Amino acid sequence: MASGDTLAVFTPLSVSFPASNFATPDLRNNHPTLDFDGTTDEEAYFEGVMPSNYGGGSVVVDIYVGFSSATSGSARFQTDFERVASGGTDLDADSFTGSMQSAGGTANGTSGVLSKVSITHTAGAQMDSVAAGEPFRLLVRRDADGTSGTDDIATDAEVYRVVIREA
Amino acid sequence: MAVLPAGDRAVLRQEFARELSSSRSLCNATKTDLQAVVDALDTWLDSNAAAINTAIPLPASTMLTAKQKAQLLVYVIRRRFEVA
Repeated sequence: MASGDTLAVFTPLSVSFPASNFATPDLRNNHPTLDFDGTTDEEAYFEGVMPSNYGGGSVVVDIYVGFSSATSGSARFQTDFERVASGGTDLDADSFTGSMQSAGGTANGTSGVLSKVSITHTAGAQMDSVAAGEPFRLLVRRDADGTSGTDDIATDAEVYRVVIREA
Repeated sequence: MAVLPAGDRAVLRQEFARELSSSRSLCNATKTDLQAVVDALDTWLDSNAAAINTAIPLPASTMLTAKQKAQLLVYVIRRRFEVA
């Protein structure tokens, strides 16, 4: 595949959750969304399979975010990969890389208009070495306490789509 | 009564932000801005508790507990500003 080609698309309807501090499913004008709190770091998981024609290079995770109340300010998101290879990962324990990648996004001036947060993972360790054709899990977290960068929006961030593409 | 502990003040800011989010009320105050509001209001209430108490007429002033007076204050503020 070539740079920019889409590898995976996730919606709020294809989500799974950690045992605690998880994003909350919601609807906005009948659009399914996941609400990420403005104070507590919350997470959501997306399970997928890397396409067999994935070129093996770096990827970008695009997170399409709206905001429940803010029309200015910044929110911070983090992502991580967990390879679920045949004969490899024991599903009874999480095995994300633990080294999250992160980026910030700015709220649109019009409530209801989405912003895009793009997070790059270089091939290899940052992707838990997920290869073409292999199952994986993607973790999406709002870094609400601003550990990795500025997150000054006090209210919810709403995630509508998560897209993985070739860098 | 002393001012609220910092942890309680932070929880108040969080609860307010969650309420704004659930109603999708527009608000661009940052976390820092909102926390400053909570802190200032709590400090003002602490500084002016005696004045508020003085404003409550007799005989109720001596018949009501401090908690009951505080409840009435919440009721009045809620109705004045039509907040949930």
